[in-house]
Amino acid sequence: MKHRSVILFLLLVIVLVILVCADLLTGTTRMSLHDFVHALTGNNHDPVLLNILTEFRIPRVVTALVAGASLSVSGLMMQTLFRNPLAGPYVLGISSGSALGVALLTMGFPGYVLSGSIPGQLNLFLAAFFGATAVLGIMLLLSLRLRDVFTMLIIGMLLGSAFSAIIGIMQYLSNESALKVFVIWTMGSLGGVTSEQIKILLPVFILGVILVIGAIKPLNALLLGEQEAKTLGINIIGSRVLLLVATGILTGLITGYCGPIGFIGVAVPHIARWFFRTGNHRVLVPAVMLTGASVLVCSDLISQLPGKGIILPVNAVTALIGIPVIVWVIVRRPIYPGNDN
Amino acid sequence: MISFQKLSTGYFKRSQPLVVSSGITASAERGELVALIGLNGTGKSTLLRTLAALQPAMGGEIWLDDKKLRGYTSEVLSRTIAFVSSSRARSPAVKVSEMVELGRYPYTNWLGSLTPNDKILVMEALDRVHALHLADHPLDQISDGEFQRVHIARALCQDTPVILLDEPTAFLDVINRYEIIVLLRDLCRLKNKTILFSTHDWSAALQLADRIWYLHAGTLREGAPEDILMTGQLDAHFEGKDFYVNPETGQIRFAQHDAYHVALDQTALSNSWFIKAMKRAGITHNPDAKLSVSFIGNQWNLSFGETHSRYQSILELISGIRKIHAQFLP
Repeated sequence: MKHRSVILFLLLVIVLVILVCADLLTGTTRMSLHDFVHALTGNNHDPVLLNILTEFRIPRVVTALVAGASLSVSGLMMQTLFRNPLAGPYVLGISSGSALGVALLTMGFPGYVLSGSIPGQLNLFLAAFFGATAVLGIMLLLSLRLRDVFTMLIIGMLLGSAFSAIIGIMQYLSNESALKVFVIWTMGSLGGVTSEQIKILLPVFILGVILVIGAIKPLNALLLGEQEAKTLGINIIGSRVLLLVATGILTGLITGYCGPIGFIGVAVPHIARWFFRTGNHRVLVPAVMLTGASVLVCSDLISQLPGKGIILPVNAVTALIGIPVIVWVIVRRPIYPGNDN
Repeated sequence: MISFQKLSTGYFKRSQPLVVSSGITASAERGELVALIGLNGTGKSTLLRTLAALQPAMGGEIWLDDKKLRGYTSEVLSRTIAFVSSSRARSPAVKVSEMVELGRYPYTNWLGSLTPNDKILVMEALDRVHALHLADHPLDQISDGEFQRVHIARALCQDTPVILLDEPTAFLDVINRYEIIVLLRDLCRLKNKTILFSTHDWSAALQLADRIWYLHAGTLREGAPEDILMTGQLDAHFEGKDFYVNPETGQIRFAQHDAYHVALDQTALSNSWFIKAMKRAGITHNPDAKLSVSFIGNQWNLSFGETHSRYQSILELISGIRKIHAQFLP
C-alpha cells in the first residue's frame, strides 16, 4: 500500500475516534468529559449516566458506525456492479424495496414482529433483506438491457415511488394494530435501535463485511467490464450473486432497523475515491467503510445541534451532505448516454 | 496454435438460435499476426467472443494446440487467451497501473495480491507499449490511443500465448492506429504470441498482417494478404463503386469519372503531383480541349480562349478549372 493511503487511513481513524467521542458526549442530558471517562472506567457509580451511555448513546453511535459503513460499501459495490457512478441503495430503489418488505411483514403478518424479541427482530431484518435483494435483482436484469446511467436512475426512482404507493395502499387497508407496528417502524432512526437489535445488527454486519471482502477480487476485475473479467477467470454469475447477497444483507439490515437513510451510499464512494485517488477495491472497501462511518456519525452529531431535546431527522442531514457530491459527480464527469458501451 | 473446423457462430435471440457464420474453418500459428476483416455485421465480434469462450459455439470444434477449447477450465483458459473487447468504458479513479495489474489476476490469490514479480511484469508491460510514464495517471485523463495501449499492456501482463482484440484501432487517429498495429506485429515477432484482431482498416491489415481471415456472407476465407489480393476475393465489394483495392499495395484507391477535359502541355504533364491531383479530381488530358494548363516559373497558367489566369497552388488551379467549367462548358 502506498504511503498516501497509510497516512489517510491513520487520519481517518483519528477523525472517526474524535467524532465517536463527541457523539457519545452529545444528547439531551449534559455529560462532561469527566463524567464520561468515569462512567466508562467504572469509577463513578452514577447509575443514571451509565444507563444513558449503555442503553442509548452507545447503541446509537454503534448503529451510526455500522449504518454508515454498510450503506457506503453497498453503494460502492453497486457502482462497480452496475458500472454506474450514480448507483446507490437509496437512488436505485433498493431501500424502498426493503421498506416494502418490512411493510408486507408488519402489516401482513404483524404477529411475527413482536417488538423487543430477538426472533421478531430477525424477521424484520429478513423481510428487509428479501425486499432489498429482490429489487437489486430486478435492477440488475434491467441494467443488462439499459446501459444508460440516467435511465437506470429514473427507473430506480420510479420503482421507489411505486413501492411508496403500494405501502400507502397497504396502510390504508390494514387494521389498526398492524398499522401501529408499521408506523413505529417508519419512525426508526439511528437512535431508535435498541440494545436488543444491536445483538442482531453486529453479527449480521460482520457477515456482510466478510462477504464484501470475498468480493474484492471480482469487484476489481469488473472494473474492466464483464467480458474481460470473465476472460481473467472470474466467475461472473457467482460474483454477481455474491455482490447481490452482500448488498442485500447490508442495505436490508440498515433499512430494516433505521429506516431509509438516503444519499450516503452514492456519495461516500466518490469522496473516498477522491481522497485516496484509487479505484482499487482493496483500498476502497476499508476506505469507504471508514469514511461512511465518519460521515454518518458526523451527520448524527449535526442532527443534534439544535439542542433542547430537538433532534433533526438524520435523513435530512445526509441528503444535504450527499446531494452536492452527486451534483459534483454529474457536472465533473461527462456521462454521455451509452458511455459504458 | 488456434484452429477451428466447420465452426458455426451465433447467438440466441428470444431463445431462437441465430447463426451468423456457419461451417467456417481457419487456423493461426504461433507468432502470427492475424487480421480479421469483413463488413459490419458479418460476425467478427461474434467469432472473437466465441474463440474467447465468452459465448458457446453453435457447432463445430475449436482447438487450442491439440486440446479442445471446450475442455479448458476457466482458470487454465485465463492463462491461455487474453481478450480485449471493443468497450471503451473507463471506471472512475482507476489508475493506469491498477488496470494493468488486473492482467495478473489469473495468477493471484483470492484477494488478488500481487507479488513483487507481478509488479515487475506490470511495469515491463507498460514499458513495452510505451506507456510507463502514464503509470500513475487516472484512466479518465489519458487519450484514446493511450487507453488502447494500456489495454494491450493489461493483456500482455496476462502472459498468454494468444491475444484476441476486438477493433483495437476503432476511433483512433491515423498515427495511433498504425502505432497500435505495428505494436501488435512486434509483439508477435518478439514474444512469439498469436495475436488476432478485427479491424475495418483493410489497408493496414493487408500491409501488416501475416494472415487474413476474411468474413463475408457467413463464410470465412483465409490466406496471406497476397493470396487474398491475388485471387481478387475482395473485388466483389468494389463492383460498381468508385474505389477499389490496389492489388500492388493493398491500399484503397479512388477512381474518378472523367469530369473535366483539359489540354496539358509538357510542363504540366511532367509534374507528378499534378498527375495525382488529376486522378483525384477527375481531370483527363485531352489535346483538343478548350481549357489548357501549363506550369511555368512555379506558377500554374490556365487559358480559356482569350482569358488567362495564374495560380500559386494546385488547389486554386483546380477550383479555377471547376469555375470555368460550370460557367461556360455545361
